[in-house]
Amino acid sequence: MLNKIIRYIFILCAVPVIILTGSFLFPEKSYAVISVLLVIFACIPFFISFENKKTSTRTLVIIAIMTALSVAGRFIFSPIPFFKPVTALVIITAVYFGSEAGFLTGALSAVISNFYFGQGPWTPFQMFAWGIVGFIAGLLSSQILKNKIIMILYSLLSGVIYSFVMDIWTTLWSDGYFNLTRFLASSVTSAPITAIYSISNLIFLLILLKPIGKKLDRFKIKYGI
Amino acid sequence: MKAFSNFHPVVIFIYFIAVFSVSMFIQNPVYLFISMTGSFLFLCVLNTIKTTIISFLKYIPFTVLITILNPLFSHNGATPLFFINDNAFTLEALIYGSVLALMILCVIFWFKCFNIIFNSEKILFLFGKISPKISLIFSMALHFIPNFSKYFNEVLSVQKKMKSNSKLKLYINCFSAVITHSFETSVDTADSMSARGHSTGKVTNFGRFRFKTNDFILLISIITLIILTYIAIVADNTKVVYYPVIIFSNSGISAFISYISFAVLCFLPGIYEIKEDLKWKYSISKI
Repeated sequence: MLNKIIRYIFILCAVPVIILTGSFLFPEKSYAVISVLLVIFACIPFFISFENKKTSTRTLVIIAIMTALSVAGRFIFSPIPFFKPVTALVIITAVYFGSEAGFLTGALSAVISNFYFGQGPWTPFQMFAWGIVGFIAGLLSSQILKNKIIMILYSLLSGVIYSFVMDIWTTLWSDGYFNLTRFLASSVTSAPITAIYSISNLIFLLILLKPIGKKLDRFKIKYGI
Repeated sequence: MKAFSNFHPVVIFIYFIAVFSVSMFIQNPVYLFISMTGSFLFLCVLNTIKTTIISFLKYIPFTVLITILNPLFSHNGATPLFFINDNAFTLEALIYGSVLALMILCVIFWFKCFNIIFNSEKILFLFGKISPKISLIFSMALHFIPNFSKYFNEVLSVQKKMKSNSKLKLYINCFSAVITHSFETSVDTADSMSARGHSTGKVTNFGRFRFKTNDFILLISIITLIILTYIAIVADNTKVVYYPVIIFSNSGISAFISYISFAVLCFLPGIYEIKEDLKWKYSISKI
């Protein structure tokens, strides 16, 4: 258990700390690439622990299905701008199948959807951002299911977490180091989009969580996952 | 006409890492300019010249924006051009901004080539051995996506005829139907996988890639060229300092060799594609 906690703390804290201290200590050097590498390394522990665990075939298929659904959702809802069910589906997966499944669904959705929308140096950041949204949702799963207020708060927060990570990326990429004024400026300019994302997450979760949850619960009992 | 993508995925991956490591890390305009022209040539061969030029023109406002924004955010540099609210708008910051813009453009263009050359099949081949479970999920998800989109369109066309909801509600209802359907089919998939012995032994991957002599030659030449490039970089012979004053050190023959070998590295795939194309046309004209 202690081992597990240490691993979680390492994953949650070490990487942001390294990125921030690195960019404060050496402001004249380009840290965009280093941050990309760090983000890739941040995803590795999740993949390793998933790889080493014994998982049933059905769980594998479920994660694949949820990933495919969230990627397909990005296409399906393309007529309605800004309303994308990806985050909501990642949260639902995490709530019902645990934080690890949530992380994997988030990270893989980012990679796979970028095959259609264009890979770039931002891919690892998207992987990390969606993965961490799913991971935290998995940790809070019982509260999210029981308490509606926490569910609403978290779905709003998830949009903020996502755009926070992506704003760090924008700053590092365009400046080569962590420029606080640039970070604040990009946060302010992205604020309306963040708000729309958060609200769309909320709408999707409010509409989808109950029906999908029912289906998943029935599914879990019927097939014993 | 993607002759370069016929090489072994490992070799192609190493090639892109080599090019990216210089174009992302090294803030020397000479390297960046070489890298930019190389990626431009490669993309011209992969797409048509017209689409490449159009996509290049699309990025010009973006590069101008980055160039101008940099001096507004960073006030380092020794030669102020003018002052805005007591903050200096310096020449050095402006030049650094343009170098940054060039760097970003380079990476975007190389990634465009990467997207065309490096498809999901190659990714699966590359990571299948390292992480069998995740690449299995990956390939299954890739298989499900078009199925779900197709099924969604079927449901949508029926639902549209039946009742007129608001657009968002309609889409969400249909999406919910897709979810139910996908769960039901997933059990079949999982059961048939178990029946065929999944999770009883090692997962093997199908890959139609073989490591040929050509791959070996390309690998050796990539490694030699990148080592020749990095000799000057490590020795600080091609170092550029931007703040407070721009110092452009271009000392000696090693810098020259470094530039030349990086140029060969960047132009390699474009020239290879052109060569293969000519060969193909020549062989057709003989018939």
